Amino acid sequence: MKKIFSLVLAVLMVASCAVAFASCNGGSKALFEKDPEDNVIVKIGGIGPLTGDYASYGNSVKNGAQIAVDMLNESGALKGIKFELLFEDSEGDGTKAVNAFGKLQDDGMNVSLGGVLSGETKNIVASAAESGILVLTPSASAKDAINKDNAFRVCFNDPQQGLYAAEIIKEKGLATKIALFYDNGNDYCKGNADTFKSRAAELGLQIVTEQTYTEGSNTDFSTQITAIKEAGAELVFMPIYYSDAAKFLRQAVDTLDTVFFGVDGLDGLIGECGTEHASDCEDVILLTPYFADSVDPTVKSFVEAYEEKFGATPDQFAADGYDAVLAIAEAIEENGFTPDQLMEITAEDFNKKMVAAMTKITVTGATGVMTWTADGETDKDPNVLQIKGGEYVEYKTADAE
Amino acid sequence: MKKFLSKINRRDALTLLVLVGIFAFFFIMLQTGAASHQFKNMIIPMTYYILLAISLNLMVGVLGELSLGHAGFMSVGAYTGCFLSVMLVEHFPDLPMFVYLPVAMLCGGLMAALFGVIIGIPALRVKGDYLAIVTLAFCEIIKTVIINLDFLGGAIGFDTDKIVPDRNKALTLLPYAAFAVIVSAILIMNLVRSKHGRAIMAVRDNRIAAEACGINVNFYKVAVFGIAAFFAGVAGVLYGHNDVLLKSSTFDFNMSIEILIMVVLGGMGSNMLGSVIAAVVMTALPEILRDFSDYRMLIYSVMLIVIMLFTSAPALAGIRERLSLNFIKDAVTKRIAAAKAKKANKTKEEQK
Repeated sequence: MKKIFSLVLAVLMVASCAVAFASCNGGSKALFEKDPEDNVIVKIGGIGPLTGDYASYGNSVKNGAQIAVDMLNESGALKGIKFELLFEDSEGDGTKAVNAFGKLQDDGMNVSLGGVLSGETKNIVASAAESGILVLTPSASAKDAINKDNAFRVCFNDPQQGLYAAEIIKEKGLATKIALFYDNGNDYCKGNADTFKSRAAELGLQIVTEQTYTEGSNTDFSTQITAIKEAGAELVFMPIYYSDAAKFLRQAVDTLDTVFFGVDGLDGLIGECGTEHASDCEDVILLTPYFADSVDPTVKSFVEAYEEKFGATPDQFAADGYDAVLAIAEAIEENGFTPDQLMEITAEDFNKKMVAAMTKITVTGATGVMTWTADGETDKDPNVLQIKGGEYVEYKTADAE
Repeated sequence: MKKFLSKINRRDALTLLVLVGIFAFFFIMLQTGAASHQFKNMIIPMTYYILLAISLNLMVGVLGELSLGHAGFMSVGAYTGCFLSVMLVEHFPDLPMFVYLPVAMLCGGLMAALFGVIIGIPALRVKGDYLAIVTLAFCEIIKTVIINLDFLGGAIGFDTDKIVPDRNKALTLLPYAAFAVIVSAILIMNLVRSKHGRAIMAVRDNRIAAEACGINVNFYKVAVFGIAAFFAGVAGVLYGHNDVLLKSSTFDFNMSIEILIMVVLGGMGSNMLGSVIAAVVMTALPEILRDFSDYRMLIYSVMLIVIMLFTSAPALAGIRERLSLNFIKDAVTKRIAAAKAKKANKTKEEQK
């Protein structure tokens, strides 16, 4: 009898699995749902690494986006329309990100935040082409991560940053002999370094040495530091993330008296160095569209709300997530959707209109004033900042000399 | 007929039946549109994990050598096959998929097999934990080499977006994936059943005795490395065609270990059915658990521990026995025995 019982249980388990995987979108269901107060809910679906090596980025984006959703819902900026953030873990893996995207589609996502990392975003964008849903990734910076018409991004792409960096170094006369230092196993670092190299060559800047490391060898940088010293570099361009940069700087500050120059991945460096090693990151120059100590009112209100809710200072990724949600709200406003219209619109129409609105809107967010081009790139000004006494200040040429 | 129904043949036939059943289920779900988006996206990963699990089982379970380099073989296959596919699609835009995809699979598999043989020869000198470390190192070497090859995309990744332009990828790729998996399963199971398979198992059970019997131990070891790598390579090609971006950092030892877990969970040895089921369950489980959001990975790991204990702890043997499906087999054997006895009685009576 027990055996028959167990057999029945097994059959039930298989059946329940089949039911769980069967889709429930049969028939004509409205695209949007309503909450008890009769507001239309727009579901924003985010995907990013919430566990694993890159968990801090995914969590930052998720938290930043949550702040924007809360703010929009509280202020009631869009009458009768509320937002809901759904966020799924990708573990930083493209295949899992696509599964997560499917899960979000099943949950009725209306707009996608793509992925947090470039690789996963590329997979998501390919998967999203089928439905044409608007994909606005906060932080996927690789050039061809958003190679479809319905995909946009909030951050700069890697080539853009490398380009700006070379131009600023030339313009401000920071150095002529430059050492490149980056993680050549990371697409973000490599993308930046590659364009920096070609642009620097065009501008007549000399790259005296190129030192690389990989994820597996990011603890001891003594060989690279010696090579940079011997090459006689005046400036080290390091398009890397802040955690590696902190380790590098701790080992390098005593040996090298060069200028250290980075891009937006260095945001978070002050926190990583802490008060104990604050002198390590003193005078480091970085190029970033966002910094938490800005006096800009949009940034201020974002940082305050974030600190209150999560007890931490928001980084670049959080700001990107925040801005992505603001842009989505702006795109809905641009279309002038009323709650009644939304209840009747088809998915296809909604997606088309949202994508079309992206190139028309102007959004003032935590990372600056943004507009978008049809190929999905954002247009905004980077800030050149320098770390002085544990704070970011606007970089001035006189200080460097 | 009698030979066909031998115990081992029955076991393999059941494995094939389950495989066919799984693919039929996938097809029906996709064709009728009953599959949810999440499930649709999981189908191809499930098939290549099945292939990876049975090929690793050949190495770990049948040959008895621990390998942590399976992801490395997979990446060799993936890059070779996808590179070939991209070339073919670029130069012959009209080439239909049923031409270039099988070609890519075959070439990816062969290249991986070549690497399998190359790594298999020096690996002859080591065994057990040491071999595991050698294969692990191989996996890391492959990863690092590919990162530094610019024509394979380097760190940015190799773009495979244009190979399968179809929007309903799962349905397009499934026939090829199903064909590859079923043919591979038949080949692997036939190999295990054959004279060579028995030789391989003899090497596993007692190397010295096997050698004394005239079995060429070195030959079989290298051959199994090559064969297992071949199927891992084919799985890699499927992976590359399903994804739009190949990143060598994906194929790290974590992935090898994930495959190894499938093999261990499904039961190491000549029975491939366990590996098939474990591959499906292990791919589906993290996705099913998505509803638990923050606790997902915790629940997943706890479930792994529980399953591992359940399938191996001696103290739980009683429960296992009670829950197993062996009673069906017992009932059938009893029936057959009863029928035979009856028949024997009858003939006896007739003789009287």
